[in-house]
Amino acid sequence: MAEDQGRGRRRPLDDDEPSTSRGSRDEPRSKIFKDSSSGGSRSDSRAQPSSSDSRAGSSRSDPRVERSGAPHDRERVGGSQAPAGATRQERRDESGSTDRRPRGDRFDMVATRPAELVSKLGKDGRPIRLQTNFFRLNTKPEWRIVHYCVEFEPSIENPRVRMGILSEHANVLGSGYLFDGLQLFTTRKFEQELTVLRGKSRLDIDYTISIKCVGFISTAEPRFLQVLNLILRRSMKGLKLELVGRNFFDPHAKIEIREHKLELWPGYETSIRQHEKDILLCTEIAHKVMRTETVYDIMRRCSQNPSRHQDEFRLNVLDLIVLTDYNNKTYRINDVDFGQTPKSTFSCKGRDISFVEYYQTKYNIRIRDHNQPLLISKNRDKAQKTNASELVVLIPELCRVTGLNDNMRSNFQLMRSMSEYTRMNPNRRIDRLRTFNRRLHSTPESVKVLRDWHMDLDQNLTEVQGRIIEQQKIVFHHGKVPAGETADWTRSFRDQKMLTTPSDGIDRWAVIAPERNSYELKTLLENLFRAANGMGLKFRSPHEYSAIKKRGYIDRAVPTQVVTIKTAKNRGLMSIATKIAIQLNCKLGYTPWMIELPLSGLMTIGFDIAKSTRDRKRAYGALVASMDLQQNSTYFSTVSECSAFDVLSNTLWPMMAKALRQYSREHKKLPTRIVFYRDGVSSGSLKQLFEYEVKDIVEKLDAEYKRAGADPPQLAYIVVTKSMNARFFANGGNPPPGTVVDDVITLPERYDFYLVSQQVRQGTVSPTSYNVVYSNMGISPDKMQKLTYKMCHLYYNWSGTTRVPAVCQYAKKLATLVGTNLHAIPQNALEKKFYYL
Amino acid sequence: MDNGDESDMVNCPYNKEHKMLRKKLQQHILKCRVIYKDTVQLMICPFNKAHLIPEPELYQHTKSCEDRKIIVQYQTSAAAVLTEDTRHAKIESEENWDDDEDVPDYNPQVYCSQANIVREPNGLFPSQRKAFIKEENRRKFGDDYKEEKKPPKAKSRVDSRPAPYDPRMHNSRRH
Repeated sequence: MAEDQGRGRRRPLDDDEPSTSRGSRDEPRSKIFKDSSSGGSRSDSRAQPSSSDSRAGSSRSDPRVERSGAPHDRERVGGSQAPAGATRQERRDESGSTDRRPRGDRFDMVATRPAELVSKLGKDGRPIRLQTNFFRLNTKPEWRIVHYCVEFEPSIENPRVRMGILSEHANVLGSGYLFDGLQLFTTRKFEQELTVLRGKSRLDIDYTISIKCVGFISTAEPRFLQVLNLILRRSMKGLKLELVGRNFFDPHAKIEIREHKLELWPGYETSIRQHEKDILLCTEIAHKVMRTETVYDIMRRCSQNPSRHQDEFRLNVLDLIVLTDYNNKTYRINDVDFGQTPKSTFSCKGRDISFVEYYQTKYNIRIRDHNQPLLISKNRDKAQKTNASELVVLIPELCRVTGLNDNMRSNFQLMRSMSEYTRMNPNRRIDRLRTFNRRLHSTPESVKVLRDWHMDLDQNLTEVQGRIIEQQKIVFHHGKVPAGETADWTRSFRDQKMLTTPSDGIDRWAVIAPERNSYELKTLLENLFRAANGMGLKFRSPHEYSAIKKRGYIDRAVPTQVVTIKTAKNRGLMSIATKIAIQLNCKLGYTPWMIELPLSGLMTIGFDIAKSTRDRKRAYGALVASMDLQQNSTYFSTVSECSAFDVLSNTLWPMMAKALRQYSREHKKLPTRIVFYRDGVSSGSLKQLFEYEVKDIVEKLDAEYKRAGADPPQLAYIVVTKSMNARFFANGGNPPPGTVVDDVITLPERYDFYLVSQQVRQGTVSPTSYNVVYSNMGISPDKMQKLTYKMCHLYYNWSGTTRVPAVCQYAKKLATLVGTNLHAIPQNALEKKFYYL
Repeated sequence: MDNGDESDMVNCPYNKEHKMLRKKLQQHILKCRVIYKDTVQLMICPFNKAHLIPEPELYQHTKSCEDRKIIVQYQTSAAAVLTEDTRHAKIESEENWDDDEDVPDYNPQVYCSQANIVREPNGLFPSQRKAFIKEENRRKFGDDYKEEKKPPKAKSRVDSRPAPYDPRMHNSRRH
């Protein structure tokens, strides 16, 4: 069985690179053109080697794809490989079946090309030296962490008390140990397997502590990283930072925003992970919003009118996340219990105790108002295990409110004053990071922790060599214009005409406006016609407009454009008119501009999900697919309903099938290449994504193409993540658009890269992470990166690059529109028009 | 405001005994369908993968499935009108990737299996996970890495502390 796991070089991998082979032998079959590693399907970073058999490689010709990661499934066939004369699209199995292939370093296919180590690094573009918000962590490989299980007799509930008691035995344990209440980690191995200590608690009760060795953790195990994270936590505690939720914040450095009753606690989001070559610590500066009021204050502010008080309070307080100071834990408020007060009793350890008494004895807190109602929170962690809902009861007086509510979010002034502190430009961010590092290295408590564990944290920000992809050319009707160093071609509209416009101009249109705005309307239209004309969009009979009294009208297949009066009164009307003209063009199904695409027969698809604002259980998944952009720069958009609780999409295939059908209607054949940008999935679900979505799509594509009598397409499935914590800095400033990073801070188990595609004027830019979960495209990483960058130039609401590929942005916009406004799937006739722009 | 939905428990379609949070259902099904693939035959609805229907009921289901509308609406309502002027002459670009030869796609596992890094066995059953970690230890430290899970009681003082392994020493033994 262990053999099947397939590991390292012992595995008879087809995709072992010839260069690392210790001798390849000719097999009877030979691949015509592809190297032995070509066409191998990629699984996600976390895929275990043996699960490669369940990668799409096996799904190719084998109908039994429902197999997932079970390594015991030896039915997977090296033999299902097509013989010589394999088609282009052949995907290879990663490992052969044991009965056919003896263990050893043999290769399935002959390398037909000189051995070149396949890497994920691109080479094109101008090099640029970047600093990142990572620090290298140097550890000794011969480390061994001993793992003990600790039991107390009689048992103590509170982990903190347990930690306190154990700490009295520091001389036995050594100074470097980690104890979270249950598990003990240390570098020291005790002589006996079971060590017994005695101690006394603060209340003078005798305890017996049994420490039992349960195992070792080596530096090759993932638990090792967990322990490193714990060690770091420990040393951060030494900086007098408070743990709130999962990250540390500094209440001493809090920033008060009195007028909004807020405090911002600066802090750090840290994580230690195995990156491409080294273990790195990622540090992101975070701010926790703490409201200065407690739930009790909110209650006081609610209406004193008894009939409305309860409802109003409930409304204000439900779903809030609160922090209780005494244990620094956060809870979500699910309900208010007006029937109970702090004087009510509950059963604790066999006897009934009132809340007042409980808090007094346990935390030494005196509750002032004995008549306040109580708050209920459903403890969701426990829900999974035993009861469906274990309730936690909280006292309003002791609950501080965190986070912003919707009211606050729409309060422009509030958000603006907050962003002064939270939106930091690169220099400030770098400063903060360096300060953090300095603190770790100079505060005695934290230094001690690091030293006890022989942990050596680099003092400098990790640097990485990035590359800047060259400027793209924007294609207009009569010419091509370079996008510019800041990837913004707004100016070109003065001289350029849009790529495609209705050949006869717009001759059937109507304007509906209130009579009182007829003056603004006139000005708007004048500007609009001028701008549109300049860009090649003709309006027939320009002066025939009607100022009609406002009337509701419903005609779903007619594209509409709404202009608010505020916009119409705006001084910069010309540029707004330009933008409106572009939008009108798009809504009719035409194209303002395009980029140069060096690949033919390509369909790019973007997918994203947005929740419904009306129904918490529902969400909408939107799919936007391009046609062959070399000759037909239009897009097909479709939406379907899904459950808000599902991470993975269930209706992906029907939507994709529609898109394929549209493509073949317009181009008379199916796309030969498909690049699918998947947004809306968190990185924790990548393995499931692969098993559930990717494999399925590959299979279905194969079947569909076979039905049409065509070879299966080349597919790249790329997961787009906007919210990674990585940041880059170039000389204390933001890196320019087109900056690509594919080394050092990328993850070793992924084919991934970071791309900065957009230009930001304020703060630090957030790179987008692209993870090629599956690919048999046969294009180099350079091209993959360039293609992605090109795709970021096509969002027609903005004459610049966007943070994610345009197809994803469109999908997001569409899904949001349906989830927020329409709440229903729009008509088919609109599917080729950007009605949602 | 009904917060109950998220914390609602649902049953696994493969085994009624399995209860879990609604949001974990998809993950769970991935594992269960492997375990029960021979015993419980559930077909997947073509319109929505979450619909797992016993074979005899599948036909009926496809006639009445809610998500039919994704396709049916497409088939029955007026199709998007395409006009010639939405197309344009082929845009010639400086580069032409069509002519370039295919290049092998990067496979991260190749690098990982040889590199001195910590790897994560994700989404595996516990026994597989243990085996993976065991193998990783062997790969890194050599074949004689002792997995001392439960140290025997009578351990002499001398080897109370495991000697640090020098990976360089064992390199030659690694293939």
